[in-house]
Amino acid sequence: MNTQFKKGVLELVVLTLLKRKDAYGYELAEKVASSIKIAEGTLYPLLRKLKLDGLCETYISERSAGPPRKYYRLTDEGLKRRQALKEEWRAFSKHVNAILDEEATGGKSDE
Amino acid sequence: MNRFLKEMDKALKFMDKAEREEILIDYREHFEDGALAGKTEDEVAASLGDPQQLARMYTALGATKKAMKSSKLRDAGHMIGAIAKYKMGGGLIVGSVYFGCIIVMAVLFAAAGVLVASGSLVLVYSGFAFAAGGVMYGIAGILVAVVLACAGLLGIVYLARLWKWVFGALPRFGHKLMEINREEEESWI
Repeated sequence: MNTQFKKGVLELVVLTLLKRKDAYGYELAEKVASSIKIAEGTLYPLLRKLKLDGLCETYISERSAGPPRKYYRLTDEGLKRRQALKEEWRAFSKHVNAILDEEATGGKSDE
Repeated sequence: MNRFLKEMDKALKFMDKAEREEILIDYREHFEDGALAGKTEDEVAASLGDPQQLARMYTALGATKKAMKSSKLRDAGHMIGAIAKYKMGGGLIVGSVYFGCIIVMAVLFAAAGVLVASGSLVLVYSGFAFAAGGVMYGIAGILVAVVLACAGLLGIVYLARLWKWVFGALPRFGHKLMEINREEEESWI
């Protein structure tokens, strides 16, 4: 997939996953990597940037199995940012889809 | 500590200890969780990417954030260096923009300085005019001197403000630049 695409979308994806529930790094990395091809190591600089920007925060928590983990949690600021990014993405993809559909009904196939 | 973590630790040596520890903990846990999921160390390391480039990314991010909080040129210098190490092209662009801004500001400051200096010269002239008995010339000279000096001083005050604003805003540009990526698959944050 185009890297410019991924860069913009990755933040939205991570914020959305964190909105659903607090998560630790590895599970976020697994979830993201299952749908978007990334070097998993780059997820952590993104998380750190989100934290420095006040969009998420971290805490240490025990888990039922395994050692304690550093969890990431969305802040109110992060929630707002996600909403803004989501609306941006929806509007953008709507326009792109409209153009793609137009092409399809114009008699030409894009397959 | 495995090889990936060691390499990263070494590459992050310019960061303060607490910050470095905070960064490394994510990767250490990632290896632990990978092992729990039945992956080997090499497999996890391969999925993470290049530790050197990741460290450069963190260093650039840290330096940029620091520069954004200050308008000091020293912090800006660190930021430019860190971005250049992370991505040469980016460092060159940010560096050139800083260079250009510094030149423009220097020229403006010099112009304001010239106004103040010429005000003083006119003042000296009016002194001579008084001494020679040309009272009208003397008074006119003082008025001109005051206007020139005031314009120059006002200019310097506003330029100082402009300086603060420009060099406070420029790190944001560095920050934006770090998000721009063209060729490298793994280099966006």
